[in-house]
Amino acid sequence: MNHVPEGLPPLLRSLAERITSSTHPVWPIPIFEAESYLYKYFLRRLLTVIDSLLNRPIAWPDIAALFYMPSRVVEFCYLFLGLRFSGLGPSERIRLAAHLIKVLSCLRPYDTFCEDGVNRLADQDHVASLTREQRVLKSSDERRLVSRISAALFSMCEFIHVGIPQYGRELHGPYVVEPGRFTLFRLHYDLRLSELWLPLEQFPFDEIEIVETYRGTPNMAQLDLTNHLTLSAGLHARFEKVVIRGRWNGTVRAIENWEWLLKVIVGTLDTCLKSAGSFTRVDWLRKHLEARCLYLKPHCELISHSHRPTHEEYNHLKDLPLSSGIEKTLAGTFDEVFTLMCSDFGMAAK
Amino acid sequence: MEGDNKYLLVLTGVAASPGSVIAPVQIIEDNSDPDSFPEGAVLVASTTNPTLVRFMMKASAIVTELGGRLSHAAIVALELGIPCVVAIENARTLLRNGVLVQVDGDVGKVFVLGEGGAVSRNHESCA
Repeated sequence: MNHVPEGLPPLLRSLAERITSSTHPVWPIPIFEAESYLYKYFLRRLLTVIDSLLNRPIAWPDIAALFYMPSRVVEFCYLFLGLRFSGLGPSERIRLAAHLIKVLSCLRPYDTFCEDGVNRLADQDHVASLTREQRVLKSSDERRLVSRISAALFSMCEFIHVGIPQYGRELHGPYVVEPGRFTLFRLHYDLRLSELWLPLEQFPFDEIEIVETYRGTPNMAQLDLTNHLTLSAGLHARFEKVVIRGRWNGTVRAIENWEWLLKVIVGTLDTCLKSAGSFTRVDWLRKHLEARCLYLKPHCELISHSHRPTHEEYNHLKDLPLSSGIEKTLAGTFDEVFTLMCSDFGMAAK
Repeated sequence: MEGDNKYLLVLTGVAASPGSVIAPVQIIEDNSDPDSFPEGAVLVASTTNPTLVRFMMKASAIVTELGGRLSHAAIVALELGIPCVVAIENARTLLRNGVLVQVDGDVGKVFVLGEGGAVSRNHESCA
């Protein structure tokens, strides 16, 4: 099958735009250097896992559910930059892209590529019911406290997911429930990934979701394909109502004591950072590899595969990064990067 | 970087989180202690990452030498609702602890107003 999936050109266009328009994460390791260690084995692993699930057979919605959130899938797509190092043939590359686009369209059915600036994942009734649970922020101190919780959670996700918080954080919305107001969700998940970071065993929640309502129009908060949020100036002062919910062992409850929550998040992050305090570059590369493989654990359990990195994958971390082959690409223009990514799929750039 | 007759110095970077604040500078080095970071100071660092979260939550604005609109500093500043200007080369050399600055995250500039609390006689309203 070499038929180019319909969604591939817009996906590559968005990725090329993101790659060329902004600086890239450098903590704890420059991200393209870390990801270059995934090109040789992980891309094939991803393809094999999805192929095996389809052969079971398991339906697409159920496969998509294993990936859980669309931004995690989009992050996998950045690995397309290293396709030429993956050993995947032309039809395998197309099949991998088609699989990931299919998963993305299942998880984000309304506007798969967020072309309208909206990441719509919840239905209107669910949003409305949560806005009824929100409490009005009484002061700028309360607003600041919620913002600090959000910032601390962002940093916690960045740590857990070894430099890329989008692997464990999904912003979605904006949703309009009543005129003159809009609602944004900030979901942070896999917060107790203790198989990766032992200190997370003590954290009280698997997920924390912050549901925020602002006075204003939804164009004041725009989300793109890569889950980056653009906010209008002065929006913070329009932050009106919020509910913070925590999920533990399948039970969801509103969290009322925000000071306690902030203390727990920052305390857990501190403990985690201390546990990695003496990490070398190779230690971080190991964690990076283990994290990406761990995201496929639910998939692997269904097909009786191990999700753990192989000896070959660990040994590969001792090699020089393959990113030296794409450094020139990363420094290129949008047209250069887009053309290159298209050519790796045997497509003309248009 | 430019001299300007309204301010002692104007540093230009990239606007990363909107808003404007006037506060004294506090430069972060590797061995800085979050407990000694003054509440409401302008955090100035080479770059930021999760190890600096305790500092960032006390800051009224963030200025970094490296990074772009989607860097850690930018995103955390957006979450916190505080102004942020990134990519100001040599910010830690050009600024000093205690110096009063205006950080304008809408236009991506840092205006150096004067020594801690004191304002240059050429200073006009920063609003």
